Amino acid sequence: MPLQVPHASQLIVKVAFRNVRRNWRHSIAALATLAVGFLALALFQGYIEAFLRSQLDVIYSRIMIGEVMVQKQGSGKREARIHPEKYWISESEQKFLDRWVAEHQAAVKTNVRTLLLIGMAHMGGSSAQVIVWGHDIPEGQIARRKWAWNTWAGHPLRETEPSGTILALGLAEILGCSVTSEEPVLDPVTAAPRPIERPFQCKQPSLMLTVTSGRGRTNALEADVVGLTRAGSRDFDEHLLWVPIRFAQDLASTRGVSQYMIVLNRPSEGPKLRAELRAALAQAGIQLEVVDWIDTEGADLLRRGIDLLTVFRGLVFIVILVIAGAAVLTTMMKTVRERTREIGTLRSLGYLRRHILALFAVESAMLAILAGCIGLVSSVAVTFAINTATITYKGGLLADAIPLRVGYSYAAYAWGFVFLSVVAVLAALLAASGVTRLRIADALSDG
Amino acid sequence: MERAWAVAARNLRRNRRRNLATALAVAFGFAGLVLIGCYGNRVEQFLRTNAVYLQHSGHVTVFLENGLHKASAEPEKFQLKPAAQQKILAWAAQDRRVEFAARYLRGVGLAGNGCGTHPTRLLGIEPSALQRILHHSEVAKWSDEIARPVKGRWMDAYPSLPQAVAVSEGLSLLLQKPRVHDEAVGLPPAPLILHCDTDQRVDELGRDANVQLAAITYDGSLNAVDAEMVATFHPSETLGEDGTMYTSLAMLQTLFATDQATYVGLFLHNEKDAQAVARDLTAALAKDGLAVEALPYHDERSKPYYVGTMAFLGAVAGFITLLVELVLALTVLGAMTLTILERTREIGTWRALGFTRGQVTALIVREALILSLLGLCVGLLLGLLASLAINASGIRFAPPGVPGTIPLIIVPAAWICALQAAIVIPGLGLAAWIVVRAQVKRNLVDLLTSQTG
Repeated sequence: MPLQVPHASQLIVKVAFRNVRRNWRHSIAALATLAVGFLALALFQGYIEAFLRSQLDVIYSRIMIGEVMVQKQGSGKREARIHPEKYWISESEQKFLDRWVAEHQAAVKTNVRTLLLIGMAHMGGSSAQVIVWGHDIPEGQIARRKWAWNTWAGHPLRETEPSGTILALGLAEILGCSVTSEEPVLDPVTAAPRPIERPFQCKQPSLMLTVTSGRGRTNALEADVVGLTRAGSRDFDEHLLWVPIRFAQDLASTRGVSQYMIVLNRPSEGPKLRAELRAALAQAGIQLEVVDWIDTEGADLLRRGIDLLTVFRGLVFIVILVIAGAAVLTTMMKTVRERTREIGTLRSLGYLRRHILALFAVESAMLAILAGCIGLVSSVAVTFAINTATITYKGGLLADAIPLRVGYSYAAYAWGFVFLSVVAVLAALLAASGVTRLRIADALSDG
Repeated sequence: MERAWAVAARNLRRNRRRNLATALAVAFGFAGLVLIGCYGNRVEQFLRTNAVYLQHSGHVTVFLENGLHKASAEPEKFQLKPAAQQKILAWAAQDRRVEFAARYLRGVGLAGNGCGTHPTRLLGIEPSALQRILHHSEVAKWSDEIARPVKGRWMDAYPSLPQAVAVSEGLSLLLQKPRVHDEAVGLPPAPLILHCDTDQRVDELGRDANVQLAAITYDGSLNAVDAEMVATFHPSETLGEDGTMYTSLAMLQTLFATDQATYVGLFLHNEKDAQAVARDLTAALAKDGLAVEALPYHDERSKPYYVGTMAFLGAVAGFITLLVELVLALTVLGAMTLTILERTREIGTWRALGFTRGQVTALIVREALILSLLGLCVGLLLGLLASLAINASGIRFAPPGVPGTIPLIIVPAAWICALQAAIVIPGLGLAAWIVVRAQVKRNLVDLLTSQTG
């Protein structure tokens, strides 16, 4: 029977595995450093992903965002406030969009038309600068998903109340309305308001809304306060109020709308349907912009918050890179020094320099994978503990307390393994490169 | 053990490469902590300056009791009447902690250009207070860029122009008023009846800096005044960009037909006195029969953005500090483990020569401390050099809630570096102590016959 000589790579892996097992005590601190590095990366990335996901979920529900958003080009710019009528979607354009939506009804959950106006609200001696948000009522209710009931007090807008309005709580306070119930509002499971009509009081039951119409004239209409809610962001909380779209159109003397928010059954189809609608509009010669909300001016606050967190993540990443690299480097330096004679022996047996380097690289990679496994288990455990602790915190411009949640980020786990392995292997190669350059005789006589 | 530190330092030289790697890890970690801490310092000073000075709240904002929440809804009932204003100003004038006090009136109105109107938030300020605020050393140091007008000069530069107003840059664009007072001098006047629906509109509106202000007075009548735009500026909060206007207090009182003020802002010599001043003022005025609500700048009800942002940044910086500290402690733990394993027999020899466990432990902990201190010194230097490089690079960033971008500046502070070092050093010392303690507990014979080291 012929003698089976194992391939060099097989031998290297075997020897590396044996060495890791034999020297585990030496490597325990490096192992812990790498595991903590993994844990930190996974938690930070998981936090950013969960924060973004929860904010998008709340924003999309609360303000009835659709995956396909249609508006006039430049409608977010100041020019649109000087000449608003030029930036409203006209009736003929709306007909085209309605037809397109009807043709794609299998993919579309609902379609909410909105009209945004800037104006003033007056209620018995107090005045406030307001953003009037007109929208379709039944469609809006569907688009709000779990926020269908969106009021802290009173009730959501109803089709039977054509001049009803809901005020954001900050605006309500300025105008003299307040919630009179102490009862908790948010459902702890859904984090949305429970559908209970809580009492509120206003110094007057109605308010006067004044806006400049598309043609520059000042129009005014009286609206009845039917509910109070929160606007999400502190700044908007002092300015927003919601009315039925027909009321907003009457107020601005127009039949135009600012946006179409098309909510899809499957959000993942957003890019495809946006592309299709763009093509259809181009073919019809209609100048409308089809966008994803996250790319618009409205998402600026969220984008800035995420950018800031990304900078912090970068800093954590660099610190871990350097410290974890140094930890592996010190461990491998010790290991390499102790095993100089072993290296000499292997070289005298015919192992090449690259084989020796590969041996240390594999040892380090094994160490990194082991650390990654420990880090992974710890990450999952810590993530679970944080999520079950139901901690909340306040975050700058956001009006509500944010629940502290960390996501299970599979991408971060995968990248954690790759990143730590690369750092460990590079550190090992750096530590071993000097000794492998020694003459075999010098290596054998070390010590 | 008289020369224990010298012996510890000499021992460190034995394994230079490895100790250098450990010291570098400590240095990089500490440099990161210095950068984060000093960035936080800059953000805190920037946000506080904006909250206190540029949002015109003062270190302590004094409302009539319940005025914070109700002054907008029921101004006549919950704003400060002249007698109350005088009582607050008199108290502030005799308190040495107060640098100066200023009265403010807030309101909402319509800004018009003759062709259209836009809603705007109005703030009436005493011109003398405006001058002190804008030329304050804290403002010059921390928020100079935001305090500077985009165009023109602030109202305090026009004592003979009582209708002078400063308009947020976005609102001036909406009003199609590209020129401030100084730039419009000498231009041909616009016609009395503007051609709003023609192409001449832009040209005619741009010939002067005149705007009109309309508002509903507290008794429900419509009132209007003429104003002259002398400056445009970026407000310190994003949503104010398209609708904020500063006027003199007297002008806004005329517009709202009132002699009231919404609040009095107290500006202090030292921000640390804010809580005490708020408490003392409330108590003193209560004795005098005036119930007020005095809110220090770090009260969430008064400055939710400042408080919320600082709490959030504090949590993130705390998490990163904890993480770096943990990783550094583990690095030192690893390095010391290797050192101890190598020197087991040496430890045995010391013990055989009569050194106690405590003395041996102290010697090796000293080695770890010297290594850490060396790392901290290099780290401090690295951190300071990095902050110099960042400051010189002119990087700008867009924080949430601030219009446009601001320069990324790291402001080193000795107390922050000292605090970070005070957090790191005990942790590293503890890591070394844990490793050594386990080893020196071993039997003397085991130590002397150990195969490692």
